[in-house]
Amino acid sequence: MSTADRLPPPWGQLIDRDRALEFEFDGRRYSGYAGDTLSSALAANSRWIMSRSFKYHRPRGSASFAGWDANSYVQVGGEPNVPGDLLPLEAGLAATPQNVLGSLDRDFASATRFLKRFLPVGFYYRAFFRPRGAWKWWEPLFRSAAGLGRIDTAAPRRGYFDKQHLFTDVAVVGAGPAGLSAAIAAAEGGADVLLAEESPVLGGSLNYARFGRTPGRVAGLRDELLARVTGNANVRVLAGTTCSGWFADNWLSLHTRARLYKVRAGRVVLAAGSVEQPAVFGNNDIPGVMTGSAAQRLMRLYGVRPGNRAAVVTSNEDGEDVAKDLIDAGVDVVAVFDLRAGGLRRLKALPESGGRHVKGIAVTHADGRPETVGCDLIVTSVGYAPLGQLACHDGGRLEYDNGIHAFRIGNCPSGGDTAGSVNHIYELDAVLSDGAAAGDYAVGALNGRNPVRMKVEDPMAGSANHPYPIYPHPDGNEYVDFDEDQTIADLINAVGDGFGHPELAKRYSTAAMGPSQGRMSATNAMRIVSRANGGNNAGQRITTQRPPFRPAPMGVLAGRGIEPERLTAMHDWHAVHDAAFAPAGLWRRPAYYGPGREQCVRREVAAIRRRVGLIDVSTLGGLEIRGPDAAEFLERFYTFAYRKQPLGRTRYVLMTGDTGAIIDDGVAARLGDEHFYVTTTTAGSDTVYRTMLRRNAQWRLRVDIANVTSGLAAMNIAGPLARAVISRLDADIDFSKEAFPYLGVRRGRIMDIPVLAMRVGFVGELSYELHAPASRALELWEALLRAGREQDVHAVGVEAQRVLRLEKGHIIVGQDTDGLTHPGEADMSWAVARRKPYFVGRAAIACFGGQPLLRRLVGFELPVDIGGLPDECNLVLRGETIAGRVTSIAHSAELEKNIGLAYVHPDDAAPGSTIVIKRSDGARLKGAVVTLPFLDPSGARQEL
Amino acid sequence: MTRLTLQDLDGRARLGVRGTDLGRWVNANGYTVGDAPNRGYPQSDKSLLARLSACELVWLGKANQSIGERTRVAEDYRCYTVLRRDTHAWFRVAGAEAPRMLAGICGVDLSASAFANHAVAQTLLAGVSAIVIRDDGRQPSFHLLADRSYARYLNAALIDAGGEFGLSVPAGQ
Repeated sequence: MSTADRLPPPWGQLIDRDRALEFEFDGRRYSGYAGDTLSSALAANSRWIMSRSFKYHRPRGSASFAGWDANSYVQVGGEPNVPGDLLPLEAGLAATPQNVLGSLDRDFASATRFLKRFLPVGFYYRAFFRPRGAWKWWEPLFRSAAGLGRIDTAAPRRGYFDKQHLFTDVAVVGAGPAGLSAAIAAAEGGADVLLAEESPVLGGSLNYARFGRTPGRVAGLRDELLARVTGNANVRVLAGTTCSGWFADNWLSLHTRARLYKVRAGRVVLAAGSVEQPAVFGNNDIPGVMTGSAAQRLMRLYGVRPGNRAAVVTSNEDGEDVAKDLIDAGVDVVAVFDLRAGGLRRLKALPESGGRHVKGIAVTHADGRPETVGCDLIVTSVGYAPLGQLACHDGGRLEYDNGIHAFRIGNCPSGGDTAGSVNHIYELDAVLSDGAAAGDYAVGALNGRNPVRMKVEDPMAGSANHPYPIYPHPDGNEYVDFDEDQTIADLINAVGDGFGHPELAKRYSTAAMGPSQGRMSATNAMRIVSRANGGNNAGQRITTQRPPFRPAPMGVLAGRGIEPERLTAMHDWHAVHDAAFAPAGLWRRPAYYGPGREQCVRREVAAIRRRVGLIDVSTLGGLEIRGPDAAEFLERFYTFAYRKQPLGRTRYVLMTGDTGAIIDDGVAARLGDEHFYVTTTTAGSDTVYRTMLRRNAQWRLRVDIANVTSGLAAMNIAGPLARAVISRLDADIDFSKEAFPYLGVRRGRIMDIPVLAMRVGFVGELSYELHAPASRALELWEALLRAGREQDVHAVGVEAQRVLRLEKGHIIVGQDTDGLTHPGEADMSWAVARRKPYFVGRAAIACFGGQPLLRRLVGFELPVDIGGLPDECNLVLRGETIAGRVTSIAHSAELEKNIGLAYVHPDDAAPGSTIVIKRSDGARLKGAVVTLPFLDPSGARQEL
Repeated sequence: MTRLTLQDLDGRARLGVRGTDLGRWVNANGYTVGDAPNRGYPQSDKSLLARLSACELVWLGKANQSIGERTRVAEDYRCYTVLRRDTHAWFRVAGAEAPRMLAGICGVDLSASAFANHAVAQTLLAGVSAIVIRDDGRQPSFHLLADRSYARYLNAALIDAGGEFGLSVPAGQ
């Protein structure tokens, strides 16, 4: 069939016959119409095979034409697993089939069918692990066969994705007759309504089903409902939008192919409808076998005749409707097998050579009479499964009800309701009544009334579903789950292997674990497992349903292509001056300046050791603690003592948690009797601030805590010539050694810029850390560089700073500590005031004090000629036992040594001990433990 | 009339006031402020004073206003000022579509029915902590204050979110 062979209007209501589109599938060119999906356009071209099955590489075509099975999943460029049933046809679209070895028509891997008896359910759990080491041989084979589609991890970001928050009184999911009716009722009741529909057009089954019990009403009713919806200003319609999750407090996730909506709704009405279930019989998976609603979609939505000679297998009135539709469309209905009238003993589709399409159907009637009919289409109508999975995301349950032979939603989330065929109501007037009742109820509940939900029943509901539409055949190949190629025998074998519980049978067999998440398999799988267990279906629950309801593109989950990042006040200066940036949390810090990392770092280290350098340290956290209890607060929060800290002096702060582990460190500057300024590490500032607020709420001290991290930019001018440089600026601070000694803090103005200046020793040289308002920090930075031209001042990045502090033996919390490091291990007991009655972590640290240490952080040196430094985190070995790891390592040009910090066994912690480091290449290097610091043990340089 | 505009108000004066005795600062400046938190209070000098909590205010100056004498208050923990120009970037989004545009990056319902004029939300904008203050003129208008270090990122996120609404950004911003 080509585009010219489509059924005439009114068939094909979604296609625009004036807009033909060329597209490509599997390397061949085809033509379709605007409004087609990829699947419908391929069907219109009689291209029924769209994929190969996962395990046996059997030819597969869409069974639902609604995306409920994975048969139509295709690869579009770098994007795998795009449902062809839902993929709008576009000019130039190029799609390829998935899971194919060879060609779609001739797949070499289909030879696995000859190995079927050796590949029973769960075979991979019981084989391939003997003899020892065998798995390493098998693993690549299985990994290459596993998965669907290909992800190009090197591909650039494609397209634009974003997220949007929406707020509504009532969210209605599904715009079939029940959803439309609910939306109208709620909107006319005054509620703001959001109506979400996965299809690009509203109307649901009104667009394709015959509704034979109410002949002639469908089209007019649909148009009337749509007019009322679109004409009501209270209704917002999101067509082509899938609801993929229903979370607590009516938080819904909806998505298109490019946008994720996060919806807050006062009430939710789930009117998602139901999925027609396949019958299970021999070769029920081959192209040409489809559900009745799939055939109706093809004809009414896309004007595609699903076949020329059809056999209809049915157990309900809808099958009769399908047969009538097929006849109306000019299809020769050669047989109708009514499963209600005595039923069938056996049923099997007869494939063409190669199994690429149906050529007939063979049945054995209840009286034993065999019958074979030639046909190119088999449609089945044997019942429905409610699309209640969304309700299950928030505590709902799908439990089997023997009265209607189907799952029924129980324990619907509070604030939610269900309407329409998801409630097993199929008769059109009943569907409309149920929708309207749900809409009215939502409005009443929103308005604080205590409404009564009108109960709507469909007396015919029980006849819609066949109780066991499963027909084992001696030849097998009766597929319960198309995604995973699971047959009746596989499920029975799973029960026989002891995995009888539905959740276990699911995992063991993988039935319902494929990308379509059991939409067309879970009901029949449960029936088979339940019967194999000899039990009753009643009360059986569907296996756990998790969001997303439909697979969503990764780009939709990721959202906008902009990541939060924090920039310092001097960022643009750094960029202009050729800084290489490194991330520090969300901050971007200059790592070094100029081309050539090693030589830049070496030059910057030398600048501070020999002359003077300027480091942007704005990323350090800055917190102001004010109030009569400020000192008491610090006493409790940090390990050191602060009550007697003199004004104008700084003191080291070490923060431990309740477990005694080191959390953060910094400096506390006492600016007044009731005023401290405290710095934190870059990574720790938010955590420390939050923890301070929490502790303050607990302790109820008279303090106020303000986070001024971004408000105050900071720079460290360091090196033996730092004083000479800073003294050249017009300032009201005396920077002389006598007036401003080491560990002093002063407030004043430099060039009329308010400044907080601290004498610190992190890099082990004469240093002034200047904290200035962010809006004027660049002015100060540039002034310092101008003032230091004569001294050849250099901007210095964080990598040089790390070398400098390592030479001084200073740790970096988070690099030289981990989540368990306590002060004793890090040789920082000097920073713990044990006489204090309380500080956070004191009890734990006291306990550690009574225990032998398990590791110690030490300084070590390695010979220079070792052919490459170890990496941070390389192991420290004691014999063959892991004793610790390297936390920091660098080559010190100043010392002409390789130096580092590492955790070692306490018995190896004494200076002079030898430790063994296993480098990444496996080499074992001998290092010597040394006394810290590596440089300037007297501290003369920093106290200059 | 442009439907939607984004302005960077970084150059304007703004001030934070913290402590348990905020009345001292409020009275000294001749302002009035209610007790309800998360609420903005327009002042007679056309500035806007927003109460973030019982212990924190933020003052937003109009064009050409300066901090002036407003920092003159006793520097103790019961009432002190914080220079918000240094801590916080300040943007304004105005236009009929502003609530819908901001819904792209903010989880708070900023529509008129849910977020009345002069309502304040301390929330996230594009994943960054921010203060949102509704201050309508002839059309919906929102002041957005966020940590200064995120200013460039937030500006980019706002422009990105405003793209589909025809957001207009002054040249050079």
